Amino acid sequence: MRVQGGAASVAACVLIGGAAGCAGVQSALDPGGDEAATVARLFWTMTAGALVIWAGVVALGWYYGRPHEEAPSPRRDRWLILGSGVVFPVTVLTALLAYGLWMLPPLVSRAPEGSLTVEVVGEQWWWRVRYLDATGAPLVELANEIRLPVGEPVQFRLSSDNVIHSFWIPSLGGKMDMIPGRTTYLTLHPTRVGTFAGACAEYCGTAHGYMRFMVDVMDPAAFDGWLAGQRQVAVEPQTPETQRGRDVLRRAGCGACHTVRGTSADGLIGPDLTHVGSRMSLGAAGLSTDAATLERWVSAPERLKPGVHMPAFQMMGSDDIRALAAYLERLE
Amino acid sequence: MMTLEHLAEERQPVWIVPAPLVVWALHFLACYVTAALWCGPAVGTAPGGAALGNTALAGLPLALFTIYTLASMLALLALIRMGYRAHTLGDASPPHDADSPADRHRFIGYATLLIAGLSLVAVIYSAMAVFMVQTCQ
Repeated sequence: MRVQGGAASVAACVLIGGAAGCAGVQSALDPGGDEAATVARLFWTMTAGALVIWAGVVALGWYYGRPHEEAPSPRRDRWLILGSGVVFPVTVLTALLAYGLWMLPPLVSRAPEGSLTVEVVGEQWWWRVRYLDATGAPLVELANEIRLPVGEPVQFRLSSDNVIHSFWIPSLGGKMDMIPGRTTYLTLHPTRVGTFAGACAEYCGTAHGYMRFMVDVMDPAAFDGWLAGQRQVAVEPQTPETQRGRDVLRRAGCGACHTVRGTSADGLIGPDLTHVGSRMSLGAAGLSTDAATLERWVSAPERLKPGVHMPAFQMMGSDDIRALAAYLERLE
Repeated sequence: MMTLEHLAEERQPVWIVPAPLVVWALHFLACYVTAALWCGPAVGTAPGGAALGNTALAGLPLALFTIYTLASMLALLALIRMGYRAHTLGDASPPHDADSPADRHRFIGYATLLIAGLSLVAVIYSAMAVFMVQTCQ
């Protein structure tokens, strides 16, 4: 009984653990877009097919494992081996290959002319996101966050200037490599409003595991409002503390790496901070954008994200760092 | 008249056994190099987002893939025929493991037949990838 109980517990754990992958913000089996639905359908088709084949193999093993009284038939056995060992696998593999190849062209085809175009550049280790206008000029730049209108195709232009990354939003579609020296393209059709998670799917260095991003699929009207808000310059600080924070940002040289539109900070090395306070996460690491986390980040980013290229600014003093964090939090 | 016992290996050279694998490898290499040369210059992006260079595997490369595939399939069918004829020589069934020139002849034919069948499937799979995707992406 104890052995049976143990086996049942193990089976329950496997089932529950396995089922946890069937839903959530980063599950390819919980599709929020046409491309992910295609991939999920392929997965379930293959799973069902594999179960049928497994049952057939077990049944054959059971049948031939029993003692038989009739005389063996070499001719029948030869055809069985040829049929189940050659003809059947070749047929199944050919069908699977054809199905998989038939799925591919729509996944890499371009979105219709005039579709929303988003350029994503793989950095070490974060995502530079630019929304482009019809001429290909950047409208707005942000980092580690993508917002999309539901029900509309979106054209991603993907590139990298350091190492190979791979852009993957499992709930919306398949992944696409970002290769230095090339531009690759990915078209997605989000079909459901919601928040999804994306990740780098190609090992790219120390902080590869902290190279995540969030995707918010919104109603088109809400999306238009959000994009218009992102195009605004940074809000002017209203309180003495946030005004001090703005002065710290200017004095400490943050603008050498970061841009805060509407101020003199126009660096291009690190993420654009114009609206950092309204972002869903910080540092591509799933961190909150509240003042306390921003304070810890500026003081010692390496502690929150091992491998990060941004240096620590602990030498600025805790009052200045607190003021800077308060200013950044208010950049919504 | 030649008897079965006169069929020494020199009349059925051993190189015929790996020959189908060579045809498969050449077909794969030819497709790969053609796709690489055709798609390779597609770097960079023009203003407006259009890619510079070739993005589709259509026209000339598709004609070349057709030639490679038909030539490889013809060669493999010829090897299958040669293998089958050697395998069915006289009156014997596999595994052709007798210590005689005739059985060595049949064994080499049988091995060629199986490997050529495998290579034919492999060439068809490679061709399916090329003809069904037709993109440099």
